[in-house]
Amino acid sequence: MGTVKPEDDGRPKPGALALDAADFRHRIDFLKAQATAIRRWTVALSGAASVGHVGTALSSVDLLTGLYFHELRVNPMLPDWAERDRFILAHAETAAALYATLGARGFLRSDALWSRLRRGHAPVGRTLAAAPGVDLCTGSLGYGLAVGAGLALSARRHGVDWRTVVMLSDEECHSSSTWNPARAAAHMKLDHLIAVVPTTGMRGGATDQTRSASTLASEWEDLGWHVVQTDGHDLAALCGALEQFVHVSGKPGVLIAHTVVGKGVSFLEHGVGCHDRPLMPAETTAAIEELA
Amino acid sequence: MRAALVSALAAAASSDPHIVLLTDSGANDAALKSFRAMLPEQCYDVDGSADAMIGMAAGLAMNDHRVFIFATEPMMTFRTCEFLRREICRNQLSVAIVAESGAGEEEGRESLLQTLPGMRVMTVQDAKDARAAVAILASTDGPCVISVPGEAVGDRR
Repeated sequence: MGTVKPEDDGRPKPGALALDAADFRHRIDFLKAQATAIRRWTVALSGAASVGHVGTALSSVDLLTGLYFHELRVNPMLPDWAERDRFILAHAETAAALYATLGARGFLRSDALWSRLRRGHAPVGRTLAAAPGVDLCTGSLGYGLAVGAGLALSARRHGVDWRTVVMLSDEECHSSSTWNPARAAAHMKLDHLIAVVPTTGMRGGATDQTRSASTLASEWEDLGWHVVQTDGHDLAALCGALEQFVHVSGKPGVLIAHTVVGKGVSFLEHGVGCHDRPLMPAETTAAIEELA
Repeated sequence: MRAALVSALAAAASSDPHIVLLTDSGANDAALKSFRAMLPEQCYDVDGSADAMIGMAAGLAMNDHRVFIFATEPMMTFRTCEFLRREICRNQLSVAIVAESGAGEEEGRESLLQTLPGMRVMTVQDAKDARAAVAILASTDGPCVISVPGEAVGDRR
């Protein structure tokens, strides 16, 4: 086997979406197939570990697919590659989706952790710092953006151009622990920091009465962030949206992605009342069959 | 005392660009102003809550920096300890927090902080202690809280 070069990371080269129509459809079909497989694994890992938040995890799958298979500069052969983009999953209740994505991308397949995850012998309620491809151990809400801002600042101080992407929940956007680092990041003009916020319009398993997606976008914009909104389940649209941040300078960027709780599983979509409970074994089986 | 600590930090930071100070607007005494004037690229004002400062410090320390936090907000809320424990102590990151003690506060704070895994607690009483503390922290890894005695307002001008 030849030497693996960091740039041979399997990631499409810049402008990949500027393909001819046939190649473009092929690329999007590939991403959709990956997303479906990741959904199956998300349900399976959650079921094995008997953890809840399956609907929330499913709502993030397309975003994680777009990030890991299209946008992020990462290499599963070199998980500690110094020039890689960093990714932080702040709302670790959706860690099952991240593990499924890392497995599909090749970070975990031969790792003992993958075997433990499949048997339900490793926690999926939080991200484990020891897992290949995981940059930060997270668990409780509200920590990720501040650390991401620190990473982005450190990259600038070192004069390197890797980016830091933080995925956080819209629920975390109710907390000062998100808004304070957001304000600081804008003040420092951290343009290599990107926040991704899947917004479902729900909070704690019920409809969020306090804020709409447009209000959320205005709040980020008022702080000085570059805001892009997209359909969080349209892979072509969200990949195009992610590519926009390459051209933004002087301010951090936030992608507000409109998503659906439980996307992909009919009896979980828009699920009210199934926010944090684990699925019953029969529900897990039915969900996996539906995703086949 | 705080001035002596900042002075020692300035001496260390002038030869080590990886030493960074994070401050909030309340921690804006003459010593810090002097540091900022001398090393503006190594001092950042992160106005806002302690948890934001700690999170940013963790991010910096994850990428080869040694971070010193100066804040006026009382640090001893449970949520802040959770941040400290999970992000900084668990990963043994090189983050030092300078905590100014007031009457009767330091005992509860220091005993609680010592329960955090891997957390070192240093109590600085004079300039010699300050130099020694900075020398240790500039050459060793891991988190630390530096407890300094409270000063009268006049000492900060």
